[in-house]
Amino acid sequence: MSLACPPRMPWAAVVPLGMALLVAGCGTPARHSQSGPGTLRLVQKEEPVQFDPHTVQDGPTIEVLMHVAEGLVQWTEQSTVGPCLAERWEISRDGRTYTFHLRPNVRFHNGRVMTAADVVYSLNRAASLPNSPVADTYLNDIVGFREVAANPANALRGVKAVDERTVQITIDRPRPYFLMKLTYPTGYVVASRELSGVEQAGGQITERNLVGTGPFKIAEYQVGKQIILEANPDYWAGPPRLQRIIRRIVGDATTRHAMFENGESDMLVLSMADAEQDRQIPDLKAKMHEFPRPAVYYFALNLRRYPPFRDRRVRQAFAHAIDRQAINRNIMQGFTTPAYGIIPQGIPGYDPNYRGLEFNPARARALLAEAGYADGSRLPPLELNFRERDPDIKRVCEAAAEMLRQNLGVQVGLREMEWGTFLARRARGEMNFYFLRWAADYPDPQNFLPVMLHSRAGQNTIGYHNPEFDRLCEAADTDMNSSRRLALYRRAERLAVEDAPWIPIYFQKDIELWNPKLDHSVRDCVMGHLPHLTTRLEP
Amino acid sequence: MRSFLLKRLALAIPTLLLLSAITFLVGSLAPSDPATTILRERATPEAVARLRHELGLDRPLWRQYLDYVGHVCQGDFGISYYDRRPVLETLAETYPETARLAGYAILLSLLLGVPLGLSAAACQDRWVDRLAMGVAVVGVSLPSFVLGSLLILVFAQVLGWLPVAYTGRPLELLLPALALGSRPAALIARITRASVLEALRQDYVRTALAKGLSRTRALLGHALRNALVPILTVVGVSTGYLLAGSFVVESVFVIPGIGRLSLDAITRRDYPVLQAVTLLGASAFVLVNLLVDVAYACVDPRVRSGMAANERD
Repeated sequence: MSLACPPRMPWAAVVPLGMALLVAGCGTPARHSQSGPGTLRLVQKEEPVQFDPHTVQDGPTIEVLMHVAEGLVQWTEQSTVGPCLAERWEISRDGRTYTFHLRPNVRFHNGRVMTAADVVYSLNRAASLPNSPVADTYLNDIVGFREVAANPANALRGVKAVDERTVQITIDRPRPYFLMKLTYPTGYVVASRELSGVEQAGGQITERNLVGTGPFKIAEYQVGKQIILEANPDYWAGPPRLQRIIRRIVGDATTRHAMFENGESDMLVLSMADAEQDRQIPDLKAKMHEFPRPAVYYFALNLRRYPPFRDRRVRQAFAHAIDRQAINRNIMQGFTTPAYGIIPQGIPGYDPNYRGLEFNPARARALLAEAGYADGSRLPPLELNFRERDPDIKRVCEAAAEMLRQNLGVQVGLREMEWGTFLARRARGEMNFYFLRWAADYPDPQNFLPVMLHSRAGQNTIGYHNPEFDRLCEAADTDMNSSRRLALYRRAERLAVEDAPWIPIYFQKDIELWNPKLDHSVRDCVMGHLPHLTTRLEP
Repeated sequence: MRSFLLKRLALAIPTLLLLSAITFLVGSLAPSDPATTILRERATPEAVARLRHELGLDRPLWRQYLDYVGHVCQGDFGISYYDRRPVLETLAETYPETARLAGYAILLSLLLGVPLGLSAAACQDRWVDRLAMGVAVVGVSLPSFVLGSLLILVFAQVLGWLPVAYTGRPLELLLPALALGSRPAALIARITRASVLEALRQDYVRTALAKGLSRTRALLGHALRNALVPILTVVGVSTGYLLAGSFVVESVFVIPGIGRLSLDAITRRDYPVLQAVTLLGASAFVLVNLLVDVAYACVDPRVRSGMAANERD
């Protein structure tokens, strides 16, 4: 039986009517701004890995922490080291002792005045964390560091409070880059009395107990949602122009882009595919800003864990089999610079004409055959690891795996990994083959060569060891003659490129979309954006 | 009714216990050591040993499981390996978002699905029927992430009526709820149409129409009421799934719910969080099914009398 459709049957109209009512109920003015002109809205791909400035090592988390805590010195817009918590300093004649004079008016977020004791406490804490992935890199020049690393109960002999407002730091040898190292978060000063109370109770530095001196305080952290930083009205250099910074955690790249287009975020770092598309749209092209950064993206080959990589010829074969030009052209859309060396643009010693192990499939096959793997598929299983939620990185890894398969017959599996897990596994040297970026913490070749590849470097978790490379780096590290120093680093770089524990692929360029209301008020230096002290959004 | 409820609740207990045992075993057999993972850079051998003792990890596995069940019964799901916060605290922040989204999605699916199904049944084989069932086919087949992106494009980017990312205002859940509710809506539409048509063929409807009852009242008062039981079944199953969270929709609309939490926990090997969301999802499923059974009894007197007969037995 069928019931005839009643003449005034309302059902067919109910659906569109219901939808219209629901949508009409949401009628708000066009384009959404969640907050007023005093709020900067940013997006970040991942959760912050942690909130401890003394162990942090990833860019997105450092971007948060550099607004909350500070060190004795800081970067300036001229990419030089300038005063911060220390208003001035003297360096002894032998270049080993630094005497820092602290500003008198610096208060922690809880109102207490910062003293030299806080500086001494913070440097000791940073040096004594037993498994810190960064202490050995940034504090190892300080006298007494090895004793503290061996036994956290010891104190740094090279750090002392001369009086309430004077701190003296002594290093093992004169090192031209030492001040630059102090700009890294391992040198950040945290409130000793308050924090040591938390630590003695078994606590750790979290977003809830971090007490710094920075221009912003962490007001709220909602896991999976956002981090809100509120301006510190008592900041020693005067309150920042912004009232707050909201950093939404948005894993989906398409959503991040849609949020910028819809006026829900003020700045966006673009993937290269998006940059290429946006370049064609005049409205977005006008909002585009390009920043070449001193950072290198590279494949790391773990000599310690994957036996075939102990053979230099296998590593060189891999380097010759990957076509950087094709990656740069087809994936990075020509925005970046193919990397044949390790030292990137913006760093003294960068050589744009150097061509390390260039793409040469025939040479690659010959080298692999010489090493006993004429049939590349006979290599033990190999997995290429990379961080998740970055479309550019994923595409580069897919392309490289395909090039290795085509040019050498090597089958490489791909493994995308959560960022925190990736960093932890890298620190433990657990990955055979991975793709990563190393960005300058300070513009000096020392930050790329010995810091990453010296056989005793904490960051060298892939087991690369070449005594000649070590010797050249050690000589350069303490050479106060800058041209001789750069020449030594350059020789070391050539050696490492030929040894191929790393295969550099491209040097970084950030392509960002900015809300035009920012009006160039964001401070920047060669390493990246500086804390948002002057940033403002025009009404 | 009471004994029926008690019986259903009693049956739920072994289900949840079995599930808790499986999730606990998976977490225990995982290669990473919880104490080392929690302590990270502070993981000296002494600190690891101390924390293992504090967490009870040096006890036999069966004892650890009993402790775990005991703690869970008191609402203590342990500490996250990743951010070292109590898991309950994280769940308390994320679960309401998922529950709210699921509630909106189910409400929307009912508001869309039932009228669609009814109009299709009322106008069987006419253009309204074909249009309604066409819409239902699209609703079933369109993946939620595609629909989500389309909704963002139209309602956020072109019309500018709603934001892309959820900021906490309930109205902003409309688009994600639509993306998530389209499939249940389509299922409800199809089941409503089939059930109403089935009811319309029954003698009691024919009798009612012969006695002069209007077609609209026959449809709503008799046919729809009889179609409610299968609709409730679809609603129950869909709600259960929705309460477990949807990673895709939560990710596209930036909703900090259980779906995103689960995926993050998987990639971080954060077993306490995984165990908790699995147990919570299963409990929600059991509870929703129980509520659906109760709802059956409310809308269908045959079910009530069946329960009464069982109680007399």
